[in-house]
Amino acid sequence: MRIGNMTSALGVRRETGERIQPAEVVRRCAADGFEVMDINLCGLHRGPGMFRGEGWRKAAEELRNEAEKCGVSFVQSHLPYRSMSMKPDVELFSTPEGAEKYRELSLRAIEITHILGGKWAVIHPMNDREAVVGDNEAHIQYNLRILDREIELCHKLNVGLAFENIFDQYHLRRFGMRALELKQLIDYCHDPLIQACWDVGHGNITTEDQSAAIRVLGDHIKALHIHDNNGRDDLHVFPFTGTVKWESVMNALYESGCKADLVLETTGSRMPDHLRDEEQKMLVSICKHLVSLYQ
Amino acid sequence: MRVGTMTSLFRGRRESPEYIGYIESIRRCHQAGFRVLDMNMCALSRRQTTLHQDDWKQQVDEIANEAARLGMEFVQSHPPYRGRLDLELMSTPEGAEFFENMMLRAIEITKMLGGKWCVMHPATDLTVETGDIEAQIEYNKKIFAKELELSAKIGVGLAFENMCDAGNRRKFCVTADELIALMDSCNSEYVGICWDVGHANRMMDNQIPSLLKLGDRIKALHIDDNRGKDDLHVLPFTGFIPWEEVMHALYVGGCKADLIFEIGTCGDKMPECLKDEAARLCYKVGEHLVSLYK
Repeated sequence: MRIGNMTSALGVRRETGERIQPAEVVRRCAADGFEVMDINLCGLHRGPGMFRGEGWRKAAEELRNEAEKCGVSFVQSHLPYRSMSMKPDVELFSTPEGAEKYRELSLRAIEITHILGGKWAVIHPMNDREAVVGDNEAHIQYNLRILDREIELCHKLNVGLAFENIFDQYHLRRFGMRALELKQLIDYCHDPLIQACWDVGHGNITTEDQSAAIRVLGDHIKALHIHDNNGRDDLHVFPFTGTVKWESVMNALYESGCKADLVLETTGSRMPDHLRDEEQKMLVSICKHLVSLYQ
Repeated sequence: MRVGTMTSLFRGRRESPEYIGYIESIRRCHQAGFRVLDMNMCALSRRQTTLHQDDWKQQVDEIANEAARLGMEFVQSHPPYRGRLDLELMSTPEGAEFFENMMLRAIEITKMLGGKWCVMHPATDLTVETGDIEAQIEYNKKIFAKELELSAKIGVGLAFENMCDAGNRRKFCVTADELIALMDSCNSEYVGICWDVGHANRMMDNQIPSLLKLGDRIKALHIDDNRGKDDLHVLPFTGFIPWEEVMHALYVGGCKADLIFEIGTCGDKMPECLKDEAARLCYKVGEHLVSLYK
């Protein structure tokens, strides 16, 4: 199990408000001790960025070269996801053109994952709002329907789709909150390229002890999102600053045969620039300790 | 302004229910770079320190000697407060008396350690309208009567801290005006204000006008961050507080207090093997905050 970070890890430069670009994040994370990276493309559909223009393929190739130069590799990505409450997403999906643009960028994100050498693209499962709540089969069919082009592209490029465990929001039941629901989807597809991502922070919100859920998915877990919280809110704080039972989580991952890398998904740093690397080195120490518990 | 921390930076353990003692805590704070301390005695009334025991004066002497040996200075303290965890204790006359005795003991301990300010949580009288400021002030002067008397007698100040509402239940002393009214009503050089930057971030969109209004009435600081909702007590720059503006306002307002962390970064959730590195990061963050005090 190697330790990794997302390209969103360094957040926005406090001093200027400018987002720190993936190449700089890769360089700094590598220097601070991380071994693998996750290309975070969650916001690809929400605004400008290095992958929005015509030269996105070249940008991805350059980023891969940069990572290789630094001795780190991309192992996974976070695909764009559709928020039902965020204004830009609601607006985007209000027109057929907007929805098609999103689709184009969702496919592009899979291709970027491939160019970077990533093996797994993490995606949030969606609810079929026309179906009966709890009708998992309907939700599974819906996800496979709305992601048909993504799944086809994944097969063409040999990149897997990892469906992530999510959590109920505003008391609305969501499909994909339970490990058993993800397992049902995986079993239904019976496809080595359709597997699971386990988000430990989300697991802490939805269960008292997530080790049972982890054991349900076992080696179907191909990607990890590592962060902590207070058991109520999706805070994305550092491991060991919330209530996650890390000892039991790491043991369950080991015993159930999960072979994914340990990839942090903490909130983008808000530290002053000269303290960011100190903070990241602290996170490297935390990750190494977590890996020592993977037994 | 100097960088300091509460002794509770090192207290709980992830690995066992045992607490880290004061001597070990101040040694590890020293190793991390800290030279200024707040003696956290919040757990004294729950008998979760050893200072409720008969030999408490001897214990305090040992703590003072160790701090002196390391060149560390106690500037303030956090005595017990009437919170959720002490409700059961306060429900019997004997328990209430014990609590009161521990509050007074904490003030004496602060004096013995050379501290100048004891931070107090103002209470809210729920039997009257919570917005009746006069009634709330009288209530606080009544329940803190012995503490006010002792502090003036031995020359240690009481700094009343800004509070947080409990949901939609308003509490007294959330605002700068209420703190000023309480402070002025005491008319004593031994009464001041403690500003908890994290509490303020939960209660107001912009705490800067409050900081400027309080100015040099602020005699103690509690430095911690959060995201505006829960009282997370996380390391500054890991929440949403605009620290550049806060530190500038403290400077412009004339606050002369030291910068005292009240954070859980090295608390009972962090493995022992990671705490010292985390504490060094905390100290560096503190140094940066002090550099913004201009």
